[in-house]
Formats: sequence, structure tokens, C-alpha cells
Amino acid sequence: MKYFVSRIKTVFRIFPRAFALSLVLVLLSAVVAVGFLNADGSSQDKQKLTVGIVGNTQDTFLGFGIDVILKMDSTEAVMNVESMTESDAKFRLNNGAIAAYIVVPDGFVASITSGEVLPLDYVCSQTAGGVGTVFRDEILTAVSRMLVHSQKGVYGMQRIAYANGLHSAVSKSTEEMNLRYFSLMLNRPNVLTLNVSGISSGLSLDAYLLCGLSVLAVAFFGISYSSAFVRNDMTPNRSLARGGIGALKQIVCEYFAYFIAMATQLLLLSVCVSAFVGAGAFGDIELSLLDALAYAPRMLPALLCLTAFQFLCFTVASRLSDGIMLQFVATVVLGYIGGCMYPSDLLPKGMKVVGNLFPIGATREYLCEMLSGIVSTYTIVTVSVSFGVCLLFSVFARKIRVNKV
Amino acid sequence: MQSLPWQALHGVNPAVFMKLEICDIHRSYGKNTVLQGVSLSVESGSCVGIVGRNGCGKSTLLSVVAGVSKPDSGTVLVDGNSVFGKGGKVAELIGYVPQGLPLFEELNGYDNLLLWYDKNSLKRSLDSGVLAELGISELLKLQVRKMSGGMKKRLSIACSVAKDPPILLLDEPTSALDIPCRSIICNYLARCKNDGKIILLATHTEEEFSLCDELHVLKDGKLNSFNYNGSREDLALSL
Repeated sequence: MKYFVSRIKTVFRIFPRAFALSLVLVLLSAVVAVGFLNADGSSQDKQKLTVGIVGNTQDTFLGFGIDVILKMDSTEAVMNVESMTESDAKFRLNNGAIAAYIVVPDGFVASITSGEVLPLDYVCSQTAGGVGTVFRDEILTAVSRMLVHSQKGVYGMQRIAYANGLHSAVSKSTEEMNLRYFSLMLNRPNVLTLNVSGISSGLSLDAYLLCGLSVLAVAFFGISYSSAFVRNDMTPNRSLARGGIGALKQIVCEYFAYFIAMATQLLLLSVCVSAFVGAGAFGDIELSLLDALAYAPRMLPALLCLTAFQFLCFTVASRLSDGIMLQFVATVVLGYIGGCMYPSDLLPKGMKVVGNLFPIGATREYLCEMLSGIVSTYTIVTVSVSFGVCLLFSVFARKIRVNKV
Repeated sequence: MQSLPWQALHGVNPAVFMKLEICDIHRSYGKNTVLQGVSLSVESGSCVGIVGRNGCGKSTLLSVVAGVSKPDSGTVLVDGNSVFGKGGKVAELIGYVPQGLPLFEELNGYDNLLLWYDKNSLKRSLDSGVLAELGISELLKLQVRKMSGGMKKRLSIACSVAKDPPILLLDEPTSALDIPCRSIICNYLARCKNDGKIILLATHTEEEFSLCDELHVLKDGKLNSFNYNGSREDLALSL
């Protein structure tokens, strides 16, 4: 307990400086990010969305349908439609090149007229969901018009039957055609299924990058505490070991002192950023402090994992410069393979799996799943194991350094 | 057990008589053999000095005796019991002041002392105990990295004797210190010797020689007794 108290005193001596630096960096980053988003949003208002079409483009009906879509009043000014394969469409949707894509199954139009509905699959990112709603309404309107006009076929059938003396067949044929007509009308809402595709765990690109960059930011904030934990001279620690405070106790006390400092720092950062947002410093963006704080307990496993990784970097370094470089380089490398800088879905599957096993990638994956609402057991296990392994290695490193006289 | 005359003379309680035995210690760093069969026996109320060239193994010997470093072979006994494997009890038995300082530089004197003392014993010692004797009061609020060498050394000794250990190992305790500081430390060690403690010094200075009942020269990994007659030249030749 005495040693833990001394570590708390040490780390909170550095705290004001570390907090001030992180606050300045976060606010600057927020100003830059808001500026980019506003510029991007206004330019997007003037740009047409690109929507992919997946299907047999040689089909006459499909070509007719695409023409119809392009000539619709509400989509003409906002949408370009391009034909592409489904794998190409998925790839381009994930990296933001297209806003959405539609999968038109073979025989779609024929299925409408025969009463058997093969639905269109409309896949979009979260930001393009609004366009999907407009698109769906337009398709329903078009299909409804087709079906209303087809009602005229029923009357045409009756006239032909009467003209040819087939009076007995009229009522039965009318009933059959009406039943088919009703089933077509009733099934027409099923003509389009809307799928919102996300980058990872169903998140939008913006939310995904927010998770990744947050992990990197917190990892870099930890560098400020290097002077408190990177030790060149192990003589004091050796003396503590003689006095009964061995490597394990030392690491536990030091790690939890560091964790408390980082948790406090992030909490205060949230309060400050919320205050700035509430004061309108970032325009129309709304951020409720209570909403942000509600996430805090759920973020604890991620913070434990990330701080354990940072602490391992402190423990294995013997000089301050080594500790800083190790943390910086390890964060950048593991952030790269952990998908913090771009969607990990773009990586080969094997690399994605490996990247998510390391603390940075595991933390990023945990945050993504937390934001999407469901954290998988696999991710919880990965985060927990990363935490345990980092602390274990820290104990071993300390033991080796203390015993090396 | 029969009291020795010096124990009665110095008022030492014969019940706390203790014997430190260093038995055939061997220690190597790779191919470099630093200690070859070093043996020594020291009794309560004695101060033994170890002299030798820089890098001859004095610090290694003290670190082995303190239980910080394990020897390749040999043992260290206190009253027939090995000091190795005692875990945290070693600090209660043997106070060790290494050459490097066992202090956390980012903390002040008070916070460093709190790692070794509880608040009550710290207060008592500051008022009239060993901390008062070492003049620690002036160091309480000072951050270690801002202290002079002498201040740090006094604080190191203060931390190492928190459990009032009966055996003290000090590695060049007064080297690079000013005269007043050396005087404080030497007076303290003299008082410890009179109180019946065992003191083992790795030393270079004649001031510390005067404290020692025996001097031993560590050369080529071996420890040999040396009769110091005050001649530096003779001592230098023996090294």
C-alpha cells in the first residue's frame, strides 16, 4: 500500500502537464475534424451520389429500369448509376467510393408480373441511408403505377371474353386475375429490402475512424508519463525487493497508479470537450456529457488493455528516450496492422485476425463493437488476454532487471 | 554464554551477540571471476573494512552478503542460518547501503522515508532517533533530485536502517562527501559499532579506516587480512 501511494504521488505530479497537453491536442484535432466535415458535407451537397447496380445488365428490362431510375425527378440531380460486379460493389462501398449499390436478381421484372416477388437488395452505408429511403419510395411508386395500369388488363380480358361469347369464363377469369392482382399489390412493399452495410460491426466509416484514431490518441497520450515509469537505475526497486516488495507487487502498484491517472485524464477530457461543444465551439454538433459518461464503464476493459500495453513499453525500456521511441513505434506499427488508420476489412483476412490479437487492434475492435451495440465474447477474451499477457511480461521484465546486478 | 570484555565495556547486551559468517563465496560474471572462495567472520560490535582497487569486487561481495545477488557457490550465515531465501526478512536483519542510491528521485525525503517507516516510528525517529542523528529533518520537503550527494547518502542510510538491523553493509558511504557530512556519517557508524552492530564497509578513505577493527584487501578475487599501520604506500603496494 505504501508503495502504491508513492506511485500515485509520482504520477499525479506529472498529471497537470500531461492533461494540459492532451487537452490542447484533442481540441485542435476537434477543430480540424469539424472543419473537414463541414467542408466535405457542403461539397457532398453539390456532388452526385454514385450508386452501383449489380445484375445482368444485358437484360432489356434492367436497362429499361435503370433509365427509369435516372429519369426520376428526385434522383436525377443527385445520383449516378454504374454497373459493377457484387464484389467490386462491396469493396467500393467499404472504402466510400460509392454511397450504395443495388442487387437486381435475374428475372426481377418478370417476377413482379407473375406475382412472385424477387426483392431488390439495396445495400448502403449509414450515411447514405436517407437516400435509400427516397429510392425505396420511388421504386414503390413505380411498381404501384405498373400494377394499377395492369388493372386495365382485367377489363380488357372481360371485353375480349364477351366479344367472343365466352360469358361463362368471365367471372372465373376475373376472379383469378384479381387474386393475382391483389397478391401483387400486397407484395409490392417487399420489392425492396434495405441493408445498411457498415465497415466493421456495422459502423459507418466516420464512426470506425473515430474509434481507431481515439485508440491511437490515448496511446500517444501515455508517452507523457514515461518519465514516471521508465527506470534507468533499478537500485531503489532492488531495495524494495529486499524489503518484501517484489517484482509482482511493484508492477501491480505502478500499473494501477498509471491506470487511475489515465482514466482520470480521459474523464476530464470528456468533461472539457463536452463543455466546449455545449458552448457551440464546434458549430451544430451535439454531444451530451451524460451520454459520453454513460459509455465510461463499458470502456474500462479497453482502457485496461491499452494501458497495460503502454505500461509494458515503460517496463522493458531502460532509458527515457528508449521508452518514448518504443511506445511511439509500437503504437504506429500495431495501429497500422490493427486497422486504426483505415478499415481493417480492406486487409487480408489473416492479417486482420493477427492485427486484432495485439492490444491496439483488440482495443479498437472492442470500441467498434461497443459503439455498434454488441461486444462479442471473442473480443472480450482477446482484450482480457492481451491485458493479462502485457502485465505478465511486465512482471518478468521487472524481475529480470531487478535480479541483474 | 560468557560476555566478552569489549561487550561489557561498551554496554552491549550479550543476549544480542551475533556472528556473520561469509563462507567460501564464488561469483563470476561470464568468464570474469570476481570472487574466488571469499571467507570472512565478523562478530557483534565489530567493524570490518574491505579495501581494493576499483572493479575488484567489493560491491559484488557486499551485494552477495546483502542477499541482492546470488553467489555461484558458497553461503552467508547469520548465527548459523543462511540469509538466502529469507525474502522480505533480509532487510530486517541486514541494512544495505549500496553505491547507487536506493531512493526515488521524483519523491521528496519524507515520501522516500515513508516507504520504510510507518508514520509513528518516523516521527519518533525524527524527534530523537537515528533520523535526528543523521540530520534528516532538513531533507523532508526536498525532492531527491534536488539534494546534494551528502544529503542523498544520509537519506539512503536513514532508509536502510529503518528496521534497526543488527548488521550494516555500506559501500563507500562517505566517498565524494564534504567534511561535515563525513563527520555525521562516521559518528553515526561509530555509535552503531558501540551499540553492538556488525558493520561491513567497502572503503577507500582513511577516515573510514579509523572506524575499522580489521581491514581486508580484496585482490584477484581473494580476501586477505591487512595490518594497516597508517602508511598509504604500504596499502597501495598490497593492492
